[in-house]
Amino acid sequence: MPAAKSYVTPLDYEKMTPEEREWAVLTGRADLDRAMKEGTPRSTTPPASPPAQPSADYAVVGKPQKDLEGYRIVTGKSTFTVDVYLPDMLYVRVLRSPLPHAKITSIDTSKAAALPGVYGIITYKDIPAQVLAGLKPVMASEPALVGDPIAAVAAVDETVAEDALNLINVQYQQLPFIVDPIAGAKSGAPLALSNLQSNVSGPDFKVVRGDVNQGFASADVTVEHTVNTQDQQHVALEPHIAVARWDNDVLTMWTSSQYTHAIARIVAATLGMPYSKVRVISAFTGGGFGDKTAVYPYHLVAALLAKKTMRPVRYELTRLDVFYEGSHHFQVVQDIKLGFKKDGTLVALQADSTARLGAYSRGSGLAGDTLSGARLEYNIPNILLNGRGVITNTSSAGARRSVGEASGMFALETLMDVAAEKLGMDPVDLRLKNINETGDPESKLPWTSNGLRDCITNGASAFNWKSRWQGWANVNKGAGPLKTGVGFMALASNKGSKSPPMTAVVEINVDGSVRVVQGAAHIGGPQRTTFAIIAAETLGANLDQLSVSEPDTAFTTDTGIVAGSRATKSVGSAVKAAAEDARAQLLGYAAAKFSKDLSRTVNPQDLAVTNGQISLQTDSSVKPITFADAVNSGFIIVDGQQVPAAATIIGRAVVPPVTQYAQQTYAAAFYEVQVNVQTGVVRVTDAMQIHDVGKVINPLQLTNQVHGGSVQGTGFALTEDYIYDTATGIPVSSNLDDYKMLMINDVPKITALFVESNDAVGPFGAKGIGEPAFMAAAAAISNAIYYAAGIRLTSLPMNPKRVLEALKA
Amino acid sequence: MRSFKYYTATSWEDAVATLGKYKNAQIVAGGSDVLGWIKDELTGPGAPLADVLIDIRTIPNTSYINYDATAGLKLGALTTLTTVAESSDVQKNYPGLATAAVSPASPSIRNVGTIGGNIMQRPRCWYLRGANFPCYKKGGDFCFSVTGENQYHAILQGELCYIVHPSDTAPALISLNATANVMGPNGAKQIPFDQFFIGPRTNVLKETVLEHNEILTEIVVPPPAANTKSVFMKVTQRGVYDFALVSIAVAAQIVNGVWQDGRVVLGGVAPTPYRATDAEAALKGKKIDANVALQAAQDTLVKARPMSQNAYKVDIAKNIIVQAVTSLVS
Repeated sequence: MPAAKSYVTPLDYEKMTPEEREWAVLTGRADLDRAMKEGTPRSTTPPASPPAQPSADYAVVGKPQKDLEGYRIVTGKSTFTVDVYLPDMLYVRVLRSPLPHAKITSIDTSKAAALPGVYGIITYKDIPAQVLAGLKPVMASEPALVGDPIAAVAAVDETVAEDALNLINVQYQQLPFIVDPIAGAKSGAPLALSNLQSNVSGPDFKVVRGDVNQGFASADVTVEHTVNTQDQQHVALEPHIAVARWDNDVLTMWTSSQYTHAIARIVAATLGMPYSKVRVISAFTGGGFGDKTAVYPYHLVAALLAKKTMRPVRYELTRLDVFYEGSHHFQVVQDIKLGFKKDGTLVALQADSTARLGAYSRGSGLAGDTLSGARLEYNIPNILLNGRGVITNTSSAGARRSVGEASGMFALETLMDVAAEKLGMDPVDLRLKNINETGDPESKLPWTSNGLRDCITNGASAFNWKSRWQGWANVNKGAGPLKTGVGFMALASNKGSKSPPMTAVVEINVDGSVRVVQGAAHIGGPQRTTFAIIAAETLGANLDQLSVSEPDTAFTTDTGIVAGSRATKSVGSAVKAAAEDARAQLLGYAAAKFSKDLSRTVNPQDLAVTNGQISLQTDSSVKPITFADAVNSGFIIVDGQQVPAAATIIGRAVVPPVTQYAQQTYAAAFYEVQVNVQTGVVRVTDAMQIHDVGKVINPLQLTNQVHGGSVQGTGFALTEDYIYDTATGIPVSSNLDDYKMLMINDVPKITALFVESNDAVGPFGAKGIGEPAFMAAAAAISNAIYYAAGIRLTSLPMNPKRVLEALKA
Repeated sequence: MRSFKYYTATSWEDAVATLGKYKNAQIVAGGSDVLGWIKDELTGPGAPLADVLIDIRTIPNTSYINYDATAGLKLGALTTLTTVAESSDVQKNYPGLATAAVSPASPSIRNVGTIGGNIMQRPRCWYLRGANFPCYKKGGDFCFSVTGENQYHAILQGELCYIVHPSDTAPALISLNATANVMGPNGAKQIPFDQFFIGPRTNVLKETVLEHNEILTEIVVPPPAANTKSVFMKVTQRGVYDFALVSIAVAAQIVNGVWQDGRVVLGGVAPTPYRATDAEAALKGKKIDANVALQAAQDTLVKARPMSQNAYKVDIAKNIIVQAVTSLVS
């Protein structure tokens, strides 16, 4: 292979919002840009292959463990933000723009203000121009999408607030608007906002590797297609909600959040307050999937109305409010082309991605994210990738389970299937031939681990692929209206990585109990259980000694977002490091106690900790002691001297970012579908996902994550579609009847299998899960539909309309 | 949700009188449709938002299933869908109706949703159900589906407005020749379900012949004639909790495989439950097989006028007619 010259357009970090910078860190983009700019770190030459961590037989790690919070949750005893009701609290409702783009010419709230029970109203006139929620206006004067907030009312109850909204008189001057990103990118298209020069946002995302023209010229087989994937909603069970209360100059906000510290930091900065004076609490979070990561207008609405009325204020968004105000998985139109040698060796990739940004997202980063997997999954010497974002008068694009990667992997992995048929190869063999097992060709950093080959081969064997997939001659060979077929895809993703900030505190109390203090959201992972397992294993404690703090910025450390599937690997790394610090101190106490009791010198390294007991390895006749015995021993050995000790151990960790490796997660997916060629209805009848998770921490909850992801991925593939009426710019499938989430009856048997590749930087070798399970579905389903019924579907969702239209084409 | 006045009715006469008093009053039973309508603030020049709700669950003796081999089946309008679906009399004598009653929504909704409400529910068109579309049905002067997103809209009998009728039980009841008992200011009256629903050309603001102060109180289904078979089928995108892309109810007397007499009714294809009389004519006196059924389907769908995005529903309707009809002899 010739030495590839590589180029990736760097992001402009100066111009990015805090959320955008966080996103770049989360997806490994910042690491890539740094490595491209500064070169691969030379002072610390990376090892040729990751060091194998000891594969000891762990006491807690790897054993099935129920969510330690599960009993509280299912008995209704856990406090979600929707459970927060305060004395004298007011309720908020928001009037929203009926037009996709307009200027407000007049707004009269006097009648609403006079309604008994109304305590406060805000409009754009009450909000300084620099106060924005990210890039979204808190209250719009130039609404740029249907649903932009126009006026907010705080009243004694929600009914009075809604009655008041109907008394507000707003006059609009309608402005031209744009819904379709392809049309919006053309010159002369209506501008989505009046201050834009063009709807195309910023310079294109671009990756050049080798010479793509030469690559295609040398190819024996070329395949290409255009793929259109849809806007998708999150539909977290707990709606977006903020409850705000001011105590003099301190703001306390309860909110259903994936990242309390960022909410506190950004609300404080936006309102011109010290970060330390904003306290944000999310004891439990009822689902997020990426949409509860940033400050949205509702946070500031609650804070501002609470200040104005001098009473606590609660704003629980309706489902329609969430659909309008949230940031969603975005429409992407992709042209993708692959070139192969006739033995299946990949020689060229060209892809072009246009992302619909909505009104308040910017740049080409999201389009770039759709191309991330294609850049890294396979060895391809010649690559040309282009991506752009187009600003439109629709709900904003943002993080939604994988951000853009799911769309990109759908485009790539369906085209790999097309190529396999054209090459006359088993699609499994085609993937195995091309896996990039080395590292990131652009940054030159090696992978922390790569278990993709094992995912594919183990999965093919467990699914019995060789007998269920019977060669390309047997496409569409079923008789009768119900046609069955199987499909396969491979997956590489930048999610599930280790990224800063990573902080934690582990306290060992006087009674021997252990408290893990960290600020990550408990959002279904279940994260606190994962951290308890990691801390217990590290300390040698029993799981029932452990408790883990609830996110509250007043008491916990900033350990980053619970998104990007990072919690296990990132927060888990911090918890492990803090537990190691605590363990070292604990052994110091214990050594002092043994030394005193036995009247001879016992060193910490002579001790072992298992099941909450500290024992002297060198002398089994000595009775082990408990954590409490050690903590209460009164002395600690420091530099060989006994010194008086405090009675609580505090282990701490601030973990540095990963600079020597590039990080990816991997999976293979095998799906079986049944296509009813008379009704166009597709049902998934069997699903298997095999994930490289590095190391299994908790097999029970890991399996749950795969089940959840598979169902979401199947909804993305078959039913979910956030549709806009292009003539009016109004979304039409904006309710849970027309926005079709899958139901439990639609869920087939799902098999979750795992490959333990022993990640070089993860806690106990673990990587993340969550989003990869969502991504490892749509392409496998599309490929299975082709095998069953002979139709290639490249637009999502693959609903009866598209199936029947394709069958007729 | 905006505020409204709430009355509890003591009798059908009381409910009718209270309806007569308030122009924007509506009755409420299970509430799964009416309350959603108010929450979504669906209002327009000809469709004021209800500001008075009259609860009819407080009227005694409105939930019952009485079956008699000579009088047939009598269903109180407030009988829940679950009760109807689980009734052994219904299952034994009207299997099509039993299936139709278990098809809507989810168990939790069927446990409170009534058969009367299922018949009287408003259409699901997303323009009708969007607060910002002043369409014909809300008294406006436009149908947004014609040039808009119409993948779920009518393929038959659409004019002015292209809604499809959402009820699963209505096609089944029409196929079984059922009758509605209705209470109004002038007392009780009977209306066959075959004449109960009206299209947009007759009155675009409503879907039935009932006046503002008339209430559906009871459903009467005649006893099944000898050799009657009935079936209900429904095509949905997801396995449950979904309105029909196309549904079908067929009830017919079949002797030695020959269709004597019967009805074919489609749901989800037209503004009212669509009585496929062309199919019925094609089947009459014929020995039923796939070819005869296909002819019946083709005779029906030759009248289809699909819109820009919903031609696939013509295929579904055609195929489901064949499936349903042939299922009666298999």
